[in-house]
Amino acid sequence: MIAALDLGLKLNIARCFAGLDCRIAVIGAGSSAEDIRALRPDGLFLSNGPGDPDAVSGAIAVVAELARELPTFGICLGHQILALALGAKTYKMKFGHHGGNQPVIDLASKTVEITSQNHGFAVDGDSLPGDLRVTHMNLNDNTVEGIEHRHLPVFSVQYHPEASPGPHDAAPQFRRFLELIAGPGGGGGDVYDQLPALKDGALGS
Amino acid sequence: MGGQTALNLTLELAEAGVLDRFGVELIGADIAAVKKAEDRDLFKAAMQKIGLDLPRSSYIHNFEEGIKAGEEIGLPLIIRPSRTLGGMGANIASTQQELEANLEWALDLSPVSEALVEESIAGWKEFELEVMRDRKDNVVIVCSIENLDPMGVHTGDSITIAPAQTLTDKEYQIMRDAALAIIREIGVDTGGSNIQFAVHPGDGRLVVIEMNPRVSRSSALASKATGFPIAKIAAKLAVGLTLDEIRNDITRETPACFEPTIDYVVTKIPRFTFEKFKGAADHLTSQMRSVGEAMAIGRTFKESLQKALRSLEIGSTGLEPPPDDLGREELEEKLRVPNSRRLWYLAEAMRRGYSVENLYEISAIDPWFLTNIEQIVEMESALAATASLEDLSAEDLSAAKRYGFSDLRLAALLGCEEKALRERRHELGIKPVYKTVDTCAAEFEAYTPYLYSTYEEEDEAAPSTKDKIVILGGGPNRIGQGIEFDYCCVHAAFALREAGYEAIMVNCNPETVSTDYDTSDRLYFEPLTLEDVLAIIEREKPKGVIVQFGGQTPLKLAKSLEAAGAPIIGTSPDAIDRAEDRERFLQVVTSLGLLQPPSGIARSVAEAEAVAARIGLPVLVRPSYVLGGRAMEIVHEHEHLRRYMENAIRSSPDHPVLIDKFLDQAVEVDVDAICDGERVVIGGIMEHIEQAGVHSGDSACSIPPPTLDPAIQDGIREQTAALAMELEVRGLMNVQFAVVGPDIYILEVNPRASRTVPFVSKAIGRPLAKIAARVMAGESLESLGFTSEVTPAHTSVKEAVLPFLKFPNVDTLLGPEMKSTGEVMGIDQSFGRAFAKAELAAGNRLPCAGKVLVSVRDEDKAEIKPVAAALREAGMTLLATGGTARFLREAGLECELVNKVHQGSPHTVDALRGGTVAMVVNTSSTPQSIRDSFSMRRAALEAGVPYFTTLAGASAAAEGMVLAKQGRLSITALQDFHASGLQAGSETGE
Repeated sequence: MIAALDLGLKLNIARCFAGLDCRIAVIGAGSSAEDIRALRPDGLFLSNGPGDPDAVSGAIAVVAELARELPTFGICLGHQILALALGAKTYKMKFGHHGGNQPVIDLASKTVEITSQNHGFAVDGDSLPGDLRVTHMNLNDNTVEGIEHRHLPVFSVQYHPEASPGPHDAAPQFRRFLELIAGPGGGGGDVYDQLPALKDGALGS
Repeated sequence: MGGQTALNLTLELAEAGVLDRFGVELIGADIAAVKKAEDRDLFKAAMQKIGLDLPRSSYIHNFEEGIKAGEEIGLPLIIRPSRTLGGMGANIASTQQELEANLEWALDLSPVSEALVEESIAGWKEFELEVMRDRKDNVVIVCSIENLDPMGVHTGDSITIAPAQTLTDKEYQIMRDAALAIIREIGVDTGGSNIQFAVHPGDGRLVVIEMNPRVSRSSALASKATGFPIAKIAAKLAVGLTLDEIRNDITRETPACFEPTIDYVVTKIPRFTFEKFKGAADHLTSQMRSVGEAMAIGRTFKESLQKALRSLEIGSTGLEPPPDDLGREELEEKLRVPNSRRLWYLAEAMRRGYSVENLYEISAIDPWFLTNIEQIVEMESALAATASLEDLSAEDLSAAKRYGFSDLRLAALLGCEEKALRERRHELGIKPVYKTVDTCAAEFEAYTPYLYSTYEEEDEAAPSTKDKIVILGGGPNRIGQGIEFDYCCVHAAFALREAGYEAIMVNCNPETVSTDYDTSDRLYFEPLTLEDVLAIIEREKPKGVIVQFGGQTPLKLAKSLEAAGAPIIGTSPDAIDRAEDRERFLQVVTSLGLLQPPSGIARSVAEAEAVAARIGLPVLVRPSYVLGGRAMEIVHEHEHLRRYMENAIRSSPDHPVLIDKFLDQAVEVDVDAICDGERVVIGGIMEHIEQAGVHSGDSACSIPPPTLDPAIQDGIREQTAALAMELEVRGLMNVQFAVVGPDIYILEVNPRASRTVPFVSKAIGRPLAKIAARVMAGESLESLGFTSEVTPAHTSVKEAVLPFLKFPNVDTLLGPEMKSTGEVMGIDQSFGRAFAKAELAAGNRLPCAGKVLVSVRDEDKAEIKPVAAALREAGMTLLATGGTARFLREAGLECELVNKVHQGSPHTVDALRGGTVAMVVNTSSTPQSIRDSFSMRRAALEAGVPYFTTLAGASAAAEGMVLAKQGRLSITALQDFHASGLQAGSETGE
């Protein structure tokens, strides 16, 4: 069972989990770490939601505790909250990303997903503490689109794998989470460590 | 990249082992992928493997199997006989009786007694996705396209809209997922593919129709619709770059790995030429027959549709009532059976009170489209009910413009002149603004001004303050005005950019290079009407406007543009008029002491007979109001003349008929030249292969002239120069001559770029259009280094490509009305070889063994002897009909006799169908003999046998065949021809 912290949860996220035969418990944004532990979930999901992540201080504190105990997956606002909870910073973007055709590159496989996005804040790639790394990047402006923990089964994406309307390219992120929960409990391998620094840019000539 | 031609050729090369022998690797899609996409059975298996649905079908070999298949699949069904000649023939069975009848028909027609019984999806919604994939398996959808015409009409003949308008996101994403799965399963490693789907309008069932593992006609449309240059990117992907490594030219900052945002609606409408093919019904089927297309961009479907209508240049300014006043049943037939005028009939039905529901039932066109058309019709009736222009409020006029109404259509509805409407509109401050096609809906900065007009508030692309020249393009391709003119426009843009001007292109043809965003400095994707062009000129305030390069389309606007104050550069509109107006041109010819064929004008049968008596038969007759050879005929008999006049008077009593002496057996000559006011330089003298009477666009021609006497050629040079100076030509000019013995007659002068400019430029190795554009902008031929005629050491032959195979029951005989849809060029050291190459390129494989069927009219019998002798020398044996056989035998040439069709079997058509004939030479002149030999020409066409309907053509072919037999045709790059030509010391201007 997955505990889904509802910061403005899109129903289709719940549908995507359900589609993978996964039970989820939707819990209120004001829930404490204790409330969540009491459910004895197998994993913690941090939902999307509106506005500035810095303002959601309660959730940040809860995630700071639980992300070290439970496999954790965040989408959009959930991604920003995970980053803040683990010591990174966020900032307000000039225009933000809005629409169903944002190209995102997976820095390990070098393949691109066309994603649906709607956010005005982003995680600052330079602010990541040593145990976090960037896994995905936006091809249009090189902003952070995904992070993961080097040692814990914890990751998040800025875009919407559950998009509807929107393309289905990123849908495998849900399975990635379930595999982390089922897996030996380690991080996602070292493949992202071998990558050049983020701002080198992925564009050729 | 080269369409089905390139794909088929590649398959042949692979099968013949040529690619292996030379170690050539196919990049992009390999042979396995091409076969998987092209082979019906392999494709079906591939789709089933990835869980996608196709129309259900099965092959049957007898009646019982057919009945059984029918039960399993369910009616309605399409029955296709296998392996018929030309792949023709398919019937729909909606009832059990029709199924039984069609099974018998198909099994009988198929030479292998096999037929495909397939679920009919006629009437389903049709969609296309343009997909790109790179070697890292990144896949993007460049564009979705929806066909307004449901399944059953070839997508090339359908009205199409981008992006898809009637799908929910869920339906669209299912289609997108399917497209991704298909390109991966078929295994197109890199590049673009086009995938077609059908969706059942009731239950949403999605079936895959086909996949083209290559760039296609739709790719070109999608590129223009989105600003994503599919072929350019595909080329980069093929050499190993990936989508994320390639930059988007338009935004410069972002990569090509994205799906374009479309914040506008694109409508493409095909252009047809059924009127040029007697006997061809205006019914749209799965056989594509359109010859061109117009595309328009608007903020809404309604605006985009109405702009596309006036872009077509078929005299339509909007959804005006059809000229034929049809009864209820006839009208419904026009709505039910797809045809090129269906949109106008739909609007007419709406005016008569048909509801959207009703029209959907009849036409199967999605109600969303019908509702939009209904809204246009409703606004039309409101406008028509407005008492006068002065009573129309600014608000209503603005709303009408936002619906895409042209000033002309509004003027017609309000009962005023276009000019009055335009002035009133300007008074009310209603002018278009221009938006950019920027791939990203303004999310990022766009650096390439690719613009379209609309009636909104914000203008996205203010004009610059540079010196500019506007080039008006040619609009949709049609017979008589094709890509040759686009070539000229593109070269003009290149030349003017080189000379430091800002080149501004206006055109609405998505198939062209002129509408690439990087051909000009600014591209206006707009209809070529006075209204749309004036709006651009008023805003850009250019130094010059070029109307002479885009064919008749911009030329027709020249006078009105000049009257409105546009600075037309080059030859003046008045000089153009002097060349085009019959009376004024006669004065020019007379004052220069030159010859024209005797002629006259007739308004009645009696007048026509008087003219004929004066100048003598045969004559060339044509209505005075048409161009491009429409309704032009050669008349040999008084009875024919009488019939023609009666018809002409009945269909157009206000217009006289022009009658010219027809110079039978004359040699026609085309000349392209450039004049700067100081001097005239001949680009090339082209001798037509076919004799006078065949439209110059349909005739093969050669540079240098293979038979013209040097003195005649000098005469032609002098006359061309005299005409150019007299008409004060600045830029290009084309003259058509007819040579009879020592006499040179002028047939026509066109003080503009002609169809042959690209051919001549390639033959002589000089860019005539570029030079002419700079002359028009004020430079001299001397400063451009082009001061004397180039005489190449090689021969170049142009041959026409004809579309007869697509038009069943249409005669293949060439005449004064142009019918070709394309052309090819052959180049070699001698005329015969160059001609043989041109024929090969046009798809006429000249044989090296076998029988030639010869059947010629009496006038040609004297000339047939050397041709027949050459054919025998080329290794052929002769087969001839009665009179021809007798003549050949008398001349000592051995030949086999065969019956004419009316003489009974076994006759010529049997011989052709039986596959024993390798080539046909057939000339005929009288209406009777033309009718008699019709089935023979048709049979030759359908059997894929090269046929010649003129003796001159047959003679050139025979010469080529002899040379081809003696030695292999040489292979030399065009650049090497020009390089060696220059070394050999041929005349150059530098």
